[in-house]
Order: sequence, then structure tokens, then C-alpha cells
Amino acid sequence: MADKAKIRSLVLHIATPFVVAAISSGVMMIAMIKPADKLKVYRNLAFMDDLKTDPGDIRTGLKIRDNKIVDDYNGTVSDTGELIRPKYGELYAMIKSSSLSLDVPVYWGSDVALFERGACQSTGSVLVGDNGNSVISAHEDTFFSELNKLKKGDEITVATNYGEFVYKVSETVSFKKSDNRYVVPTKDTRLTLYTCKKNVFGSADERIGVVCELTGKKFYTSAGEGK
Amino acid sequence: MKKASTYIPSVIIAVLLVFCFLGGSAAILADINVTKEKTISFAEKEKLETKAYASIEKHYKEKANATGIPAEVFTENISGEYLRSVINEYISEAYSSLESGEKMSVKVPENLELEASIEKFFNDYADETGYEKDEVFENKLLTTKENAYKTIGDYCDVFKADSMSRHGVLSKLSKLYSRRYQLTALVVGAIVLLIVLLTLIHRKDKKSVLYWSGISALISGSMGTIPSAYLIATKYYNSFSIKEPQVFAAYTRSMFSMTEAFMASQIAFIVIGICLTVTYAVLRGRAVAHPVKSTEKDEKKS
Repeated sequence: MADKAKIRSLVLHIATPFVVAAISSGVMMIAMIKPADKLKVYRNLAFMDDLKTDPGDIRTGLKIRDNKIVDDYNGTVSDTGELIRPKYGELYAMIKSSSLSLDVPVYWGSDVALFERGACQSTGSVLVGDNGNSVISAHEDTFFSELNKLKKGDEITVATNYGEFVYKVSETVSFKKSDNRYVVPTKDTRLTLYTCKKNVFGSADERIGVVCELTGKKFYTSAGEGK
Repeated sequence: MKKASTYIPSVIIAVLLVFCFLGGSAAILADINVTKEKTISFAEKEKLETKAYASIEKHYKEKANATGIPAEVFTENISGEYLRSVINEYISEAYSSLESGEKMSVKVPENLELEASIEKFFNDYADETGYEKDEVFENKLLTTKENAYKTIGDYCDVFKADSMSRHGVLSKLSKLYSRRYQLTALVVGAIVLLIVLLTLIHRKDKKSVLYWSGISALISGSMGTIPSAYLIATKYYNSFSIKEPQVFAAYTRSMFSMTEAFMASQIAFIVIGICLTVTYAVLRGRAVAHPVKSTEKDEKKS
């Protein structure tokens, strides 16, 4: 009887470390999924964005301009104002949302080099704050990695050097690459953000995104003025 | 060990201790190694300025055909010491941003020789070609000087701190970094609390605390050592495709050095874990060898 108890105790002493190790490893693996994904995004952002002040891509003639976007404007504002049309390849807006962990720079135009630096706005769409559809897209493994987190009612602020515009997510959408209904011009004022849907088996044909309605606008009366 | 009422809480506390040991060692290592002084000394030791210089030289040689400005106008006036000061400026600003949570605002140190060299080239060129030094000339001169500082800054931002700051990554990290001492204290406090809890659970057989703390240290050490050893053995960080050599060197070498430091601390945990479990086994063996004393003691307690 005493021997049996001794053997049981010995087995328990030997098995316990394996039990603790299995539980700890399992918890660790589950807990690391999100931070590992985030680290990957941060790493991509930091290292793919090389030579940001390169005056231009010689191959395409693209001139990239990284403007500083006013984020602390303290001058007078108005409900109406003048939009400043950026040049192709110019950084002209910054998307911010408490639901996204990154501030996303928006470039005017779509180009591989621009997609490496931020989100790109189709030149066929209207400028942020203007009447119509402003269509902005970005890579799903960098700047719009958290776009799928946006839900109906979330607030998105788009800061530009001519004003600040607040949008509310009115619809989360999913559509095929060939389906243009969310990227075509519209009569109402809206912001459409979209990216590819994650597809580990190959190129993604499906797009996911959000359609947002304009809920607030402030035009700066003296452009580019900060604190 | 025999009762489920002590065994299950002990397993839970042991698992929590594993994470506290891992978190605690990572936090202490970060407190020691992730500092402005250490990073600057690392950059100097790795001679990152020589790699940055080579990249700048390559950049201007490639651009010479498009801009018409010979690379030597820039490269002959950029010393290693100057590049080191620019690298240090970026590192200092990155740490200020990590402390304050505000965006980085780096002012690349002045280089009067470089400015003079650009001015001389422009003036000589204008004189040779008979170009009138008008407003366009002055603007072009000013833009070239500004672009030179920007280019030098880009190549000297070896940890890509400015890029991370612009994308809001540094401000997110600053939430952790600015509270690192509190976090370390919290983890150390949690370790003490968990050991006290273990002592309370095993108040009738205090040696068991050695066993539970020992296996926690052993598992935590193994969980830290195995992935670290894999990263080092496979030279994992070298597989990253980072185009700029100075960024590649800064990133991969700092990651390897931090992984090595982390692995060393985890090996120490393995040693501590083995010592504690062996001590427990010896004490328990003695108790078994003198069953009368132990039984009397246990009976009195119960």
C-alpha cells in the first residue's frame, strides 16, 4: 500500500512539470497570435518604407511628396471652404480612428510605390470632404490590416491641410474585384475604404471595406496653420 | 501533492509563475538594454556610419545622371563623425518620442562644409554656363541643400524610427516603454505574491514550494531558451529582406544581441529551476529516510 502511494507520488511529481509545460505552451501560443500579427505589420511598415524622401522613381517618373499634415490646427474654421487638389503622388490626408491602431497616410493616386507608403486614393474619386465618393484603398498586410475591425457606427477622422472631416461607418461591405458598385461616383458624400480579403492560398479576388457617411466637416480658413 | 484542493491551485499558480518569470526577465532585460545610451553605444560599436556612408555614396552616384550634380559634391563633405552624430540624433529623438509618446521631430545637424560645397558647385556651374543667379537659382540651391539633409537623415535613421513614428507605431510602443519600471515592479510583485500564495497552500509541507517554484523556473527557462536557440541557430533575422545595409545591420545585430541576452537569462532560470527541484528531492529523500520524525511532525500539524 505504502509502495503504491510512493509510486503514485513519484509519477505525479514527474508528470506535473509536463502538465504545467503543456498548459503554459498552449496559453502562450494563443496569447501570441495577436501580438505576432501586429509585430509583422509594424515590421512591414518600418522596412518596406525605404527612402521616403527619394525625389522620385526614375522608372515611372513618379514624384512622391511626403507633406506634413496639420494635426493641431488652432485657427478659425468654417463649414464651407476650398479644397486643395494634390498632385499625383502627394501625401494629402491622414486617416485616424480609435478602432485602428495606426494613423494611415493617404496618397493621391495609385501606384505600387505609393501603396508601400500608405493608402492610395483613386484619382477618379472626389477629394475628401467634397460631394461624391472618396475611394481609398491600402494593402491588407500593412496599413489596412485592421480595416476588418471597423464596424457600423465607428468614427473615422480624415485630416487634410485644408480641413478635418469626420465620417461614421454606415455599412461594412464585401465585394468581388470585378464588382465596381462601391467604387463608382455617387451623388451622396461618402468615404469608401477597402482592401483585399486575407487569402492564404493565393491572390485575393475578394475585397472587404467600409462605406462611411460624412458627419462633420471643418474647413481651415488659413490653410496649413498649426500651433 | 496528494490532494486535489492543493494540487489544482498549485498547477494554476505554477503556470502564472511561468509567465511572470518570462515577463519579468524580458522586462528587466528591456530596462537594461533598451536605453538611449546602450543603443548609441551599439551603433558606434557596429560602425553603422560606414554602412550609411556607402549607401549615401551609392545613392548620389545613381542620381548623378539625373540631377547633373557629381556625387563628390556631397560625399567628399560627409565625414564618418558627422554621420555618427546624425545617427545619434535619430536614436536620441526616438527615445524622446518613446518617453513622451509624441511624434519624432528630428533636426539633422548642420554640415557647413556640405552646404559650402553645394553652393560652390552651383555658383561655378552658373558662372561656367553664364546662368543668371535669379530666384530660380536660389530656390534650386535651397532645395538641393534641404534634400541633402533629408537624404542623409533617411540613410542615418538606421532603426527606421522616423518611419515608425510617422505611422503611429512609436506612440503605441511608448505606452509600454514609458511605464516599463512600473511594469517591472508589477511583475516582480506578482512573483512574490504567487510564491507567498504557494507557501500558504503548502503551509503543512513547505518544501513543496521549492518543487513548484522550481518547475515553474525550469519550464519558463525552457520556453524562453528553445525559441531563442532556434532563432540564433537558424540565423532567423538574417532572412529578412531589408534593402539598406545599415538598417539590416542595425536591425539584425540588435535583435541577435537581445535574443542572446534573453536566452542567457532563460538558461539561468533553467539552472535555478534544476537547483530548486534537486534541493526539494534531497529534502524529501531525507524526510523519507527519517519517517518517524516526519510522521510525528505531520501528525502534530494535522
